[in-house]
Amino acid sequence: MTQEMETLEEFAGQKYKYGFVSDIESEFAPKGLSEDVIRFISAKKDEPDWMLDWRLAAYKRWQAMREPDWAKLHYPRVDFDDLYYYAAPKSDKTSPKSLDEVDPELLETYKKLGIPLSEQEILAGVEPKNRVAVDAVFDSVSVVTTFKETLEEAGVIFCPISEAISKYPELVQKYLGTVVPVTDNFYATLNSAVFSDGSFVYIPEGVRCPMELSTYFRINASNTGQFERTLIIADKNSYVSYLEGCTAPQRDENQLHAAVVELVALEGAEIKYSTVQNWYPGDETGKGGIYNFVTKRGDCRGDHSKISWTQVETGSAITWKYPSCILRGENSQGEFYSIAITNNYQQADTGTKMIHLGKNTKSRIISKGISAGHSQNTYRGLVRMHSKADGARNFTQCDSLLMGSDCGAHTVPYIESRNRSAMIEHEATTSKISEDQLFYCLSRGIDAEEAVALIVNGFCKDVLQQLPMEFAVEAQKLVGISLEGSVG
Amino acid sequence: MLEIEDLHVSVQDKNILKGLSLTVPAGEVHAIMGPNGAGKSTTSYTLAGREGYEVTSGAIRFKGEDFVDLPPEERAAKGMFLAFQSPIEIPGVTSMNFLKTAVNAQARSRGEKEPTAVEFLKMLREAAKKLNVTEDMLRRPLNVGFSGGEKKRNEVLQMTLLKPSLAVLDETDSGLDIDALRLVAEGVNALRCPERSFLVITHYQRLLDYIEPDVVHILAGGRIVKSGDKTLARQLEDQGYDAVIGQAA
Amino acid sequence: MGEIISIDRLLKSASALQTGTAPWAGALREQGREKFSRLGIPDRRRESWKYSDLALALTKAPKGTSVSRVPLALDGSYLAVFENGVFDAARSKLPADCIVPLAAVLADSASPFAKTLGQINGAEQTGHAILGLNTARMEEGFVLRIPKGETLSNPLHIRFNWPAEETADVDGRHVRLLVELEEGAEATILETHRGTPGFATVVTELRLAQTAKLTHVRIDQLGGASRQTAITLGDVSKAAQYKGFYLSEGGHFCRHEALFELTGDNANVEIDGAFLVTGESHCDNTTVITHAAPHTTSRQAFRGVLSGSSKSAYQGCVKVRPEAQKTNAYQMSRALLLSREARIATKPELEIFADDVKCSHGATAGELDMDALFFLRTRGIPEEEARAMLVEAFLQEALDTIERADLRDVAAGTITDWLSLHATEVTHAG
Repeated sequence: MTQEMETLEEFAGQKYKYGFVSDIESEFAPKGLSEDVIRFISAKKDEPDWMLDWRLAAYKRWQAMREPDWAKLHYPRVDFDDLYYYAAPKSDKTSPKSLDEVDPELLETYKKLGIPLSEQEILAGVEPKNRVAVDAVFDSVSVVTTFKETLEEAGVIFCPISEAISKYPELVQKYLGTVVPVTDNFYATLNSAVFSDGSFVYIPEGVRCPMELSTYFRINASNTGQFERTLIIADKNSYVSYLEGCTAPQRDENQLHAAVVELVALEGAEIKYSTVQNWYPGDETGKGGIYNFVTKRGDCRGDHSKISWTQVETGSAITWKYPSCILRGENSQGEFYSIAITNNYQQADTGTKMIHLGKNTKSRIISKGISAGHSQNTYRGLVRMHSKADGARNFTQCDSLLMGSDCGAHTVPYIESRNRSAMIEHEATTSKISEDQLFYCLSRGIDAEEAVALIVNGFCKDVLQQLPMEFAVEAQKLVGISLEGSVG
Repeated sequence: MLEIEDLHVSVQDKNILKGLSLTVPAGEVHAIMGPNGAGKSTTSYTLAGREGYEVTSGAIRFKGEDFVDLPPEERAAKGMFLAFQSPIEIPGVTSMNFLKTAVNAQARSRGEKEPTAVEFLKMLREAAKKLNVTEDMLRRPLNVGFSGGEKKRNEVLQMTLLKPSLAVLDETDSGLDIDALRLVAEGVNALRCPERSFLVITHYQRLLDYIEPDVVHILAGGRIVKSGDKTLARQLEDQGYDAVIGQAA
Repeated sequence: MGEIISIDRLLKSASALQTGTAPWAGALREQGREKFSRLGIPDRRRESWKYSDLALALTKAPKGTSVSRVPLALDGSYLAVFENGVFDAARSKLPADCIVPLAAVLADSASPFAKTLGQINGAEQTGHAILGLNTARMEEGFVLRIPKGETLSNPLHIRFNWPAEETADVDGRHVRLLVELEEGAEATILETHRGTPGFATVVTELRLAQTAKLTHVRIDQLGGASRQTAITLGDVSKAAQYKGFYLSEGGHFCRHEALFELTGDNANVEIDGAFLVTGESHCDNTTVITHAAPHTTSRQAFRGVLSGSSKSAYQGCVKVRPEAQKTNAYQMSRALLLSREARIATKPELEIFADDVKCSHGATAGELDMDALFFLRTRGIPEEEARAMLVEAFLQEALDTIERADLRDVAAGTITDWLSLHATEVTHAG
């Protein structure tokens, strides 16, 4: 083993930065899943009857469903009766009216995570154009949403979904479950039954959202599943950029996260959705970590609409996630930019679906997978051209980088065309990190760890440059950190 | 030979040519010069009959016949030839096979007899030799792996064999070094005769040093803004498009 | 017609075959029977049959016509003729001393082929229902063995005729071939299928010992009502080479699987394929190339020309095992859709467990290149002729990979014949 490799191994000792637990008194629903638990969750949120009925119908359906097993993922089956489906920081009031009422321990938690929730703090340090409004979701509830007033002035609704259900029931009823139907898949159906919180966004016609919107998810309580639900509606000719970040404490047991995200873009609207997923990945022996089973889908419902997914997936023990686009409107566009990094014993099965229904629809898929350690990293994607998708176009580039001889990189694209005039181009490569490049960096005095970070960041450049500024820098650092100890 | 009258052409619902008028008599060489975006490529594609180049009004007459509704292959059979700016690569079709198919198809369309294999080969070898096109190039798939110069020589070779009445040269000088340019120009000059006209479309005056035009037109904003003799090209080179177009306007 | 094809029915005569079978062969058959009964007839719920639902195809009455075609013949070749899945010795012209009928092999309790028959690429045989069925029912076929260092002097043409009147024979015909090339041996095989099998499974097992070399051209030219699943299994050892060319015109249900394992250093597999499918036909090319040794290389390139309301699939999987460092694998699939209703599904899969590898794949689907079409037309070539020229050029690139001129001519002749039969579909934008 070369000296630089040893240095890297030493570095691997570094722990997951966000692995701490906050000491916050929580209130739980009874363990396990039943109609009563669903009623409990619904009652906690003072939900109207239609919402409860929706949940119960989903639960009924879910009981008849089987956990999918087609992904290249191996893990002990989840015992769905051994989980808490609801955990919330105990507070006297159901929802704090302002930051002053939020539990200081919570504010401290977010501060430690680098997410400032105090608007004054944000305003003090940053130029107004770079402001980011944050919805902070802690276990099962949204604890605070910042910049609500500023957004309201622009007509933008940005609030916890639980609040939207009571304040904007007509919007929620009109769109909830229309992109990811209740019956869609095992995890999405489970989410429909038990979802606790998440963000709701509505951008009115013609409005360009004045700031980036962001949700920050934190799992804190143990043995608790997190089931958030996000619904974003961009009305005609509007624009929004939305960021999502996630972390969880370091725990020996696995924790379940099964979210559903639905995006609706009406005529001429554009939604840019960026994720940096950094759930606790488990330790170097594969113990612990989050099971991340997420259904994300966008519907380009109107002509000339556009939905762009960008994801940097570095966390979780298991990732099962396929942010997809239904390209319904004519000339609508879907994009998927992804970096998936797996190290140690992580397993990721992630990709996208581009369903071309409308004429002249376009999609672009750029996926970069990096596997290290004993991890398994799979790209799984579907491009489907329906018979009416005249003139549709897809381009897919899917590259995998292998670091170390004990990991795996897999590519499983499904390419289906039912339309002659639709053009599909797909390219994929798999190779090892270039020794020449590494050596070149080393000979210029760059240490091995930095060299790997540099090369991998170069490999991921096409995706990284899609991220909003605020995220790009963080993501670049994360790429380096995730691969620590991976060369040798 | 060619008369273009108040031609309006739109591409993807965008008007590119806005009242282009031009007459090229038999045996003359006309040059169209213009800055980027003036409508040069649109002019050549419209003349060749490319789909998507919609003539919204005006007329194109070739040897007195209305041309606008004819498909590209019929225009070719009637004597129109377009030398492409970027010749297309067709894997799986050898240059030789391609040339033979084209020569035969045009002969058939004109009701002439197709040349025999021997006659064709003789014709091809003679022409290829003059243009320094090797036997190997003829056996390779059309334009696949050809250098820029080889591709342009191949275009002139096609022109030589197909014997058009009007040859439109679309930016034939682009991507050529001086030697390649000279070789291509010599090939073109060898084809000049009283029955044949040329329309040389170019951004730079350089090509016109080798292929001397009778008339130079300046295309800007989708129409001819100025015409003159070959000194106009020189004037453009010295003063630049803005100055010359400015004077015209 | 309309009779339900069940697992029981397909296996009904399997037990009768046990008479006169050596114990090892009886055990092999029994394993096959057990495997097929357990797994059943594959349907689209099984991942690798997602685009080819055999269970459905066997319950639907096959439609489609066959037309007479130019004969498929290779001058100066040996000939092995199978008539409706039954070996026809009288019409065959076999090389001396290297072919043993399957029945003789299965009856021989000390057969040297007991350790290879049904054992080639074992990993892919596990869990394969149709291989189970074929093993349970295999009766006709032969073993070809070329001894060390020898070369089969002429190509062997294995000609399958599936008479149209047998379409109703849904119990199926199940043929098994085993080809063993000993160290340094070489052979060329042309395998052709003509006619309309009611339901046929043809399994060919290939064992290529060190530095052996096999050229294999297979042409499926079946009628529109035919149902066939053919499987070619290969074990390619050290420095051995397999070069395949597969041409298929589809059928009511027409699937070919190439399942190869590269088991020795420097083993090489190259497969080129072309499929020309029209009408309501179905055509499935499935490959699994497993790199199980270092420094192995594979290359696959498939081209499809699809018209009518046909449905085609190409599934190509490259697996690289942890020990197969320095693997180089390439895979390409191109589909040309000529009609409004034709469909293509492509699944080029990479499953890689070694890090020092170079693997890539590409896939395209779309119509003819409009720039090329315009270019040809500006040279005076009429649109229909230009279209035909581009389709031929597209296929020419596949043909060019066949090294032997005589084999290339047979394949080219088949393509030309198909193109002239379907000129209207090919040359009209429709």
